[in-house]
Formats: sequence, C-alpha cells, structure tokens
Amino acid sequence: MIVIHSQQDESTTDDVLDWLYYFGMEQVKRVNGTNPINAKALRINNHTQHSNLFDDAESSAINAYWYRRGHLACEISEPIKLGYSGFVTYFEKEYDHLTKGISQVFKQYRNINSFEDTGTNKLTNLAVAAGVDLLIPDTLVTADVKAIKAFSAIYPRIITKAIGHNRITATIDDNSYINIAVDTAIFDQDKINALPEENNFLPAVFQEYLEKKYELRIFYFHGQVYSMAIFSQLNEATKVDFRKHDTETPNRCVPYQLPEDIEKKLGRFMQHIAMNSGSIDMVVTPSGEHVFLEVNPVGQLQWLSANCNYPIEREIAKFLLHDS
Amino acid sequence: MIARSESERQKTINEFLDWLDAHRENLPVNAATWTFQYIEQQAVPEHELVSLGKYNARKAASISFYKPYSKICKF
Amino acid sequence: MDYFLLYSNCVLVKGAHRATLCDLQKGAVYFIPKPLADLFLEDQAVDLVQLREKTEGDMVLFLMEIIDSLVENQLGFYTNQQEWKRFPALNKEWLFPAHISHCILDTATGRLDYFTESFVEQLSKLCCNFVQLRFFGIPPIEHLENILRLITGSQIKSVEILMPWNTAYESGCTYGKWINDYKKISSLVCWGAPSTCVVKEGARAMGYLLYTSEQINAATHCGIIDQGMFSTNITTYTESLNFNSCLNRKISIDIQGDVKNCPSMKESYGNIGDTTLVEAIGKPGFKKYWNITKDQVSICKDCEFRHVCTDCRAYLEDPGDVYSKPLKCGYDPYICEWAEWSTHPLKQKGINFYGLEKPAF
Repeated sequence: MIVIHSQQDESTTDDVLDWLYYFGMEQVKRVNGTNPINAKALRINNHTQHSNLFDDAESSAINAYWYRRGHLACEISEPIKLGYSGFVTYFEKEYDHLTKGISQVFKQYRNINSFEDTGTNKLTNLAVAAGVDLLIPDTLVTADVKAIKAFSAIYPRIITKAIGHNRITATIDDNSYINIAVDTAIFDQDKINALPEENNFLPAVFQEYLEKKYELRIFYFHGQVYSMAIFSQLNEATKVDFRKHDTETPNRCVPYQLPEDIEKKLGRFMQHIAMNSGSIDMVVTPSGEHVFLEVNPVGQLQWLSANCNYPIEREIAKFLLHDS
Repeated sequence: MIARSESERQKTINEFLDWLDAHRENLPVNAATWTFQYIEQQAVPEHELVSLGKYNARKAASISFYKPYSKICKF
Repeated sequence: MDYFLLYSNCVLVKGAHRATLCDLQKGAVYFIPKPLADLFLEDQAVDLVQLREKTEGDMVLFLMEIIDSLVENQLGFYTNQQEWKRFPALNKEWLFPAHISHCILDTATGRLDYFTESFVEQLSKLCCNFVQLRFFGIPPIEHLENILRLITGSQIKSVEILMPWNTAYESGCTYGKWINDYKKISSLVCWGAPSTCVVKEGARAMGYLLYTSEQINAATHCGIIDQGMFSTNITTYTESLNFNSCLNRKISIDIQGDVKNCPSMKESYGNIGDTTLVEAIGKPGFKKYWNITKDQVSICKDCEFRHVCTDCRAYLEDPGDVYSKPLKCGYDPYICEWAEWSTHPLKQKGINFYGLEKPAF
C-alpha cells in the first residue's frame, strides 16, 4: 500500500496517481485535508509498529508514504477553548508532540517529505545555507528602527518580508474575512522615515535588495535536481516577488542547468536540514552569482514540470514503487 | 448567502483599516507593506465539485484533452 | 552579448520555404523567414558575430530587426556562449501516462448501449480518461443522462460530445442544462444548427456549448486539416516528434460497434459485443500507425506546421502509400498557401477512392 497525504483538489497528486495507475499500481490510499487524530491510535512496542492512522491502511502494510499537503490536527472542543486559558495551551503543546511523533513514525517507511517538514524554519535554513557556502542575502531580523535605518544605509535598496508565514486571515464573520498578504516588498526610504524610533513594534525580516537576472525554482527530490529559470524581470508586476503572477503576460519559465558546485551545495544543504524533497528559490544576479533564498517542502510542482517538460511526477511515482 | 453591497463592503474594510492604524505601533515593523483583499467565501458547493473516481479527488473544475480528439468540425 | 538564444519552450520548426517559431508555453505561432532560420545553431541560437560577417549589407539590418522584435516579444534573449550552457534544450520525451489516451465512440442511432459501468472500468484499466461521443442520430435524453451520470462518478476527466441539433431540445433548454449539470463536459457541439456560434462560453477549455450549421452525419466528415485545429503545447509537440499525432494511443468504436484505432479506418479488431478493448488492442496491427511521425510523411515533413498540427492516416492523397500526405489538407508548404482540398485536381484520385465525391456539406 502506498499512502499519500494530500488535499482533495491538489493536482500534482492526480498527476502522480496517473503514473502509478499507468505502472499498474492500484493499492494507493489518498488521504485528503485536515486529518483529526482524536480517534486514531499509534502503538509502539518491540514487535510491530501498529496504528490505524490512515483507516484501512494498516501501517504494517504500508510500503511507501508521501506527505504532499494537508494537516494532522487534534480537535479541541469548544467548552475547553472557552474555559481556563492554560488548558488550550497545554493541549496544543501535547498534541503538537503527538503530531511530530506520528510524522517521525512515517519517516520509517520509504517516504517523500513528512508533516514535520512544514515546520521548517526559514531563518535557520538561511544560516545552514551559509554554512554550506551558498550565497545568501544579507538578512536582518529586528523591530529596532535604529537598526533598520543603519541597515538600509548600507544598501541602495532593501526589501522586507515575513519571518516565516506570509498570510493572515482576519476573520470578519462566518462568511467573510480579510486576507492579508505579507509578501516580499521593497522597503523604501519613505517607509523607513515614517517609522517612529520609540515604539513597541514586532520584528520582521529585512534583506538587501538583489538585482536579478532571473529567478530560479529548483525541485530537489532524493538527490535529483530539476531547475527552472523564471524571467521575472520582463514584467513589472513580478519584479519583486515572482509569486505575484502577472496573468496577462505569464513569466517565461524554462529549463535551467545549475552549475555543478551549486547543485552539490544544495544537496548538502538538504541533507543538513534533513528534508528529502523540497522546492528551493534562488536568484541569479546580473554578475551570475547564485543566491539562495528559501526552501518550501510543499511547493507547487506542475508549474515546473509543465513548462520544462520534466518527468518529475513519473519519478515520484517510480520512487514510491521502489523502482528508482 | 447574500453578497454584501459595495458600501457595506467598504465600511467593513474601512473599519478594519482604522483598527490597523490604531494598533500600528504594536504590529510588525513592516506592516505598512501589507496588502489586503476582502474575501466573501463563495466556496463551490460540495455537489458542484468534479469528482475523479478512484483518484479520490474533488475539484472546482476538471481539465480538457490537450489536442482535438478528431478533425470533424472546424471552430 | 554575441548570441541570440530562443527560450527553450519556443521551438523552431523549419519548413521548405519558411520556419515557424512555436511558443509552447503561451500557445502562439510566429513565422521566421528562411534566411534567418538557416542561421540557427542547434535550432536554438544565432551567432550574431557570424550573422554580421556572413550576411550581405541590407540583409544584416533586416535580420537584426527581426531578432530585436523576437526579444521584444519575449521569445528569446541576448546572451553569451557561457550563459547558453545554462539553458539546455527542452526534454523531447512525450510524458503522458496512458496506455490509451483518448477514446472516440460513434453512433448512428443515438444510442451507445455498451456504455456501462463495466465499459468505464475497461477504460479505467487502460488509463483512458478522455472520451469523445459522436452522435450522428439524436440521443434520447434519458439515455445520454445515464451515460453522463456514469462519467460523473468515474475516473474520466472530461468528455466532448457531438450531436445533431433539434428544435425540441433547444426549446426545452436541454443543451444548456447538460452543460450546467455535468461539469465534465469540455464541449457540447450541436451540428445542423440554424447558425454557427458559441452559445455558452466556458472557462479553460471546459463547459463550452457550440452550434454549427455544418451537417456532420458520418465519420467520413473527419480528417480535416485546418489551422483551427492546431494545438500549440508541449504535449502535442513532443507527441508529434515521437508518435503519430492523431492515432497514437487512440481507440475508437464505429457505428457498427467495431473496435478500431480510428472510426474512419477499415481495419476492425473485433466487435464490442464480443471483444474487450484490451483484446482488441492486443491484436496484431492495432498499433501499426502509432509510430508514423510527421517527419516520415511526404510533404508534411517539409511543412513548418508539422509539430502543432495533427495527422490523418484514414484519408490519404495517395491511398496506396501509407506515408502519403493527408487527403483533406489544402496547405502547400512550398509556396506557403492554403487551398480548398476538395476541388484540387491532385486530390481527385483520393476523393474517388474513399467515395467522398458527394459534397460533404
């Protein structure tokens, strides 16, 4: 049995299933969405690993596991949430521990990613990247206005972004909310000057602005590397953050061959952070330097395989079938 | 659900922005760069989703074949 | 910057008289004059130093202006030899995981009684997720809705339907209702309608309702080669490099229930009444056209459209030659002109052979 943890509308999962069915594999269990673990069991002893975490897929019969997307969650009841505050904090910590434990258990199978990977830390990842000699942008995390001013004085331009999470859902009522996007943005002199120095701000990330020849999206998968260049500089709307897709003129996206030493360093980086698969963002500067930005364990793949005609989905299927 | 009128929407957004302004000093230091989108959930009702049988997938729209099946009429 | 390099999903396809530049990412086709096409190295890059050295006076300016406009249209960029190494050519493999990629079902009566749960299961085993239903007679409402319900819960990703237009269905809003209720319909084409028009615009090639005034009452109407049927994408391009762009991974059942590669062909591999699809495909000859590529077909191999076009092996200009050009193509790649195929003197032999003399519409 191959277990895939995903979401019901996740297309890359469909594409990989196409290949699994093509190779004649029908023993596939796709689990979708947020999976409450309240009624699940994890049993650990000297003889077997036994659990009913994925319903009819007994863990002993699992041959491979792919964490694609979705959550493992423990539902805490409303009366508890409305009661003494310390309870929720305690239960959240307790079930977070269980969730991590379950992730670890699934890492014992032949696996691609695990739920735990979603907690990867963008700041420590930058430090690890620098440690394996990848270039990274000069980065400052602070709420100290003086420090921001001093930092901005070093570079012609600086940018800012979130520390780890780039969406806030501000609930208005049951049917509506305000979506706040904390995307990469230029932090220009006007905004810096507008900051009062004596304040109780929360920190954010500031980085030197990198001039880009093109951006790279790299899919790393158990030692295989698939790279794509994104010519985001051609379109105004995508110059700062290529995720802000200009729908009228999509960015040109083509296969890219990374220099060998960069590929090796990325391999070492992924080994250091113990992530067997992920989507890496890099920038190539006008002088040809390759600068590491971040890694996303559950990044968009169709974008890469469709524009570059890479056999990524086939290779994922073959890996799950122990055929690679 | 009845969609909100334009003026009601604007009022909700303004209230939200006023709240942000009032608490500006306690928000992240880069909050001035945030962008906003007011979203009324119009999730596709479950019965309108396209289901893909053994794929255990349900999605808002399916996909067409990549080329003409046959060459029987011009469009 | 001594090179002009095409983005690798913009591919150069050289014809006898000119070339096309097929933008496979954005789905557009551009023309490139032969003198420029001939300068490309590995069909990817132009050495600008060489261009200036080897080309005569005015021509240099002319070619450089074209290259400038290609850069402006984001089809390629200026680079140097070192950077060129970083931009490999597109992977030429056809990546489509299906033993049978699509299926055409024809009926003269309006009924497809073999379309049952077990038939859908047969398609599923072959990884066939795309189906076209061609009704040459009016399908009873109940019958078609039964088929659509089977498709709704199945692995089938989308279905295209062709059927005769009729007043009763029109006044009962039946067509519109089907489009609304069955989200797997990519397009519903009603032929013999009072006019040709798009009745309901879909989105992303799904949910279209189209009327055509053409009379499409038999499989013999198939095989038309026309610019309107080009598809400019990586899947079509790589398939046409490696396989036959019409018949590869196709299965069909004609109006008699005979299982064939294509309904317009003579060769039958058994009747659906007593043969399974897998049995039919396994018979010798079923796949015999699958590997005939455009680069092997006479005249097509000199055509600049050959990798965005589809093929036809059912109706040939010279019925005795399996590598002959499709009969119903009126394009001449040597002079770059389209003509009406049905009145062309060189086509009369083929037209007589297939019994297509009666005006098709």
